[in-house]
Amino acid sequence: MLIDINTCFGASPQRRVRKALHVQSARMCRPRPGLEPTTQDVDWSLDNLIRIMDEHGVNRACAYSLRGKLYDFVSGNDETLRASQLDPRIEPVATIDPRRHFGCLEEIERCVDNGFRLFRFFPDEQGWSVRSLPFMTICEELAQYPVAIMVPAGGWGDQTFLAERLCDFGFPIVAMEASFGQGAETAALTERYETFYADTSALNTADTIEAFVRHAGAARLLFGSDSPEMYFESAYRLVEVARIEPEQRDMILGGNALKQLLKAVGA
Amino acid sequence: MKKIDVHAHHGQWQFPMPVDDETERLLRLCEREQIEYMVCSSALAIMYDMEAGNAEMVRAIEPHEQLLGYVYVNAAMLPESVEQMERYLPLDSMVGAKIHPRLSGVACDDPRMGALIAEVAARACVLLVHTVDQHAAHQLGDYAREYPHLSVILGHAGHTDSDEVARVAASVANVYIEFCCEWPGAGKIERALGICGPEKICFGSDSDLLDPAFTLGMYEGAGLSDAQRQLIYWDNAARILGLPGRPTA
Repeated sequence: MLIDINTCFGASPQRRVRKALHVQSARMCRPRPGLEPTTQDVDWSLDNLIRIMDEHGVNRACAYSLRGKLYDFVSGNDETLRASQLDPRIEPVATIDPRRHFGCLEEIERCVDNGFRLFRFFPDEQGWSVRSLPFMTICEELAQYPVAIMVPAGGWGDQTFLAERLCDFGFPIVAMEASFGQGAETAALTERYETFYADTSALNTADTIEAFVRHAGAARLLFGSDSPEMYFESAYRLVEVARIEPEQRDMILGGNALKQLLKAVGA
Repeated sequence: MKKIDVHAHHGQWQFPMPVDDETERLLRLCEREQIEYMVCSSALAIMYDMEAGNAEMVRAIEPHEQLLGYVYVNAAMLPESVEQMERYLPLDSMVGAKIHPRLSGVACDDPRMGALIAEVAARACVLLVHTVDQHAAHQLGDYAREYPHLSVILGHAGHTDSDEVARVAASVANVYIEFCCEWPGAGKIERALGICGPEKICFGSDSDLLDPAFTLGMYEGAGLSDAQRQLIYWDNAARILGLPGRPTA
C-alpha cells in the first residue's frame, strides 16, 4: 500500500518557483539587467497527478486543489471533491484560508458533510499566522469533527506553538515539508505528542528518517512526495534506502496514513 | 551504474542527523549508491575554520581511495587561501578548490572574489562554487572565460534558477552544472538537458547534508537514457577531474 499524503492539482498563474528563504537571502551578486525571475513549467493538471500515481504505483493520494489555495477555497474544495469522485484513489484534502474569516466555519461543516476528513493550511503562502485568532477559531471548529489537519513546518517555533495549543483537541496534526532547518522541531514534537506526525517529502536524508524511527517510532512518519511540483523519486528513494525494518518502511509508505490518519478520521 | 560525485562534504552539520564518524558515513553512502569517487570539501572549513577544516579532511580522506578533496578557499582570506592551496593541491587526493560565496561573505562580483579565482586558476584545474542564483552564475561564467583551462562547476545549478544557469553552462565551454539541492523541482534536469546537453551536467549529491538517494531521485526522475547516465554519472566528471578509466556498469 503506497499512500502519498502530499499532492495537489490545478494551475499556477505565476509559474514562479518557490525559493527557500535561506536561499533568497543568500543572493551573492549584483543583479544583472535583463534576467527575469525563473519560471517553471509544471504540469499541475489532475491528469498529470494521476499519471504520476500510475507510474509509481500510488494507491491513494491525498490531494488539494490549487484553486482552493490560490483563489477561492469553496470552489477549490468542490473541485477536489469532483476529482475524488472521478478517481477514488484521490483522497480529498480541503483547504480553508482564515483571511476570509466569514464563512470559514460553515465551509468546514459543508466539507465534513461531503466526506472531507483532511484539512490543509498554507499560512506562509497566503500570508497569515498560525498564531492568530481566526485560525484558532477554525481549529476549535475542526475539533468537533473526526478530522486531521496538515500545516507547514513553517518558521522555528510555529510547530511547537501548534502542538501545545492544539494537542488537547485530539485531532492528528501533520507537519508538512519539514526540511533540515525545521527537522529538529518536528522530531522533538513527534517524540512528545502522540497526535503529531511528519510528512517525509523534504526530510532530505535517509539518516533523518532512521533517527525519527529510532526516537519517535515509525508510526509518526507519513510518506509525501509534493507531486507534481517535485520529483516523486527524490522523496521515495529516501524511504526506500533508509536502514529500517521492512514493516517500518511499509508503515511509512502507507500503513500509517491508512491506520493513523485516514481510518482514524474515518476517511 | 557507478558514479562520480563532484559535490560532497566531510564534517558535521547542526541538523537532526547522526553524530558519528563522518568518514564512515560517506563511505557507507558511496557503497550504497555505487559512488566510485566522492569529492568532498570540509564542512568545518566552510562553516568555521578554513585551516583546521582542510587539515582535518585531508587526514580523514587520505586512507580512502574513494574519497577525494577540494581545498576550501575563502575570498575574505586571500593569503591564507593561497597558502592552503600551496599546501594541499600537490596531494594526489586533492583535485581542486571549493568556494562558498555566502559563507565567506564575499559576493561573486566583489574584486576579492576575482582575485581569489585568479589564484585558484594559477594552481588548480577544477573549481566548485556554491551557486544559488543566476546573477552569480553569469559572473562565474565571466571568470571561467578568463581562465579556459579551469573547469568551473556551478554547484546546485543555481537552485531554482537552473534554466538560466544551464544557459551559462551552454555558452561557456569550461562551465559545468550539478543539481544537488533541497528543492527537487520536477522537470529542471530535463530542461537543462535541452539547454546545455548532458555533456555539461555532472552528478553532485551534497552528501551528507543531503542524501545521495534524494539527489539521485531527481536524475532518475528525469528519465535519463543510458548514454546520458554514462556522461552525467561518470564521463564528464572523470574528464574534468582527470580520473582514470571507465567503470564497469
